[in-house]
Amino acid sequence: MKTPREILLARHQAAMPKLDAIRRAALGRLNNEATKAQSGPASFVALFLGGSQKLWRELLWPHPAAWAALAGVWLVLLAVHFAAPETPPRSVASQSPPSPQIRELLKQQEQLFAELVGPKLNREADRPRTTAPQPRSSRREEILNA
Amino acid sequence: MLAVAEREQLPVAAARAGSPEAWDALFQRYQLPLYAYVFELIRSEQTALDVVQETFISAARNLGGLRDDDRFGSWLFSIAHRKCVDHWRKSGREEPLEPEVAEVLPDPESDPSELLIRREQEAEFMNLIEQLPPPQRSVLLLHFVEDFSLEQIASITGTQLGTVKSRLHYAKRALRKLMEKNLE
Repeated sequence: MKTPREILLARHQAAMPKLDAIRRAALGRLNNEATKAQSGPASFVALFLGGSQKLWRELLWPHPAAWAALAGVWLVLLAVHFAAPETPPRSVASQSPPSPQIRELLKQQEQLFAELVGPKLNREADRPRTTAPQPRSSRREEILNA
Repeated sequence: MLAVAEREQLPVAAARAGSPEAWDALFQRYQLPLYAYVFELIRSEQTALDVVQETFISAARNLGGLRDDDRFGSWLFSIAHRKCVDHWRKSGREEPLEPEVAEVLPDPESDPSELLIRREQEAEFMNLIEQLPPPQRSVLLLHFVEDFSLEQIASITGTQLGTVKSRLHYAKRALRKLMEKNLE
C-alpha cells in the first residue's frame, strides 16, 4: 500500500538524472550572474573608492528623484554650453605680424619725430659719467681756463 | 495540520544570504515534486523540465519578495503554476486553470496520507488523475504531492478558497468512486 504522494513521486523517479542536470545548470547560471554582477562597473567604482556596493546603493538610492533632477540640470548646462557660439579670446601671440607698409609708415613717423625733437642729445645726456667726480673748485678752474 | 515542507527545516535564510549550498539543497528537495506537479498538468517531459528550471531561476532572483520563509514551498509551487498558465496561453489553448464559480461545499480537508492505494490500483489511480479536468487535477496534485493546506492551494493557484474546496471535493469524490469500484 502506498500514499498518493509516493505513487506520484515514484512515477517520475526516472526523470531524476535530468532534474539533477537542470538543477546544476540553474545553479551555474545563477553563479555566473552573481559573478558578473560583482565584477560590474558599479562594483569596481565602489571598490576603487574604498567602499562597498551596498554603501553606494544606500547613499544614492534614498533620493533617486533628487539625483535625477541634478543630472538633468547638468545636462541643461552642458547643452547651453555647447549651443553657444564659440569666440576664442584674442591674444597677442595670435595676432599676425605687421605688414611691410605699416612698418614703413612707422619708420617714417619715427624719423619725423626725431627731426622734431632734435638729434640724439637726450641719449647722450642720459649716458653715465665716465670721469670720476671732482670738487666744485677745480671744476670752476676748468671753466675759467676754457 | 502542517504541510510536508513545513515539518522540515529548510535553509531558506542561508539561500537568501546567497549560499550556493543552500540553493542546491532547496532545489534538490523540490525538484521531483515540482516536476511531478508540472508534468501531470502539462503532459510534456521537455516542457516540464524547462518549467522546473525556469522556476528555480525565478525563485533565486525573487527570493527577496518572500515574506515568510516557512512558505517557501508554496511560494515555489506558485511560481511553477504561473509558468504552466503562461505555457497554456502561449500554446494558444484555452486557460483551463482559470477560476470557476465556487460552490458551497463541506470542507474536504483531510490528511492525504490516510488514503492508501494498493499496488494493483496504482495505474488506475494515475489514469483517474489524468482524466480529471486541469483545475481539479491541479488542486488534487498540490494536496497529494506536498500536502498543502486549502489556503496555500488557493494562494498557489490564485483562486478563491471556496473554489479550491469545490475542486478538491469533486476530485476526491471521483477518486473514492474508483476505489469503491475496485473493492467490489
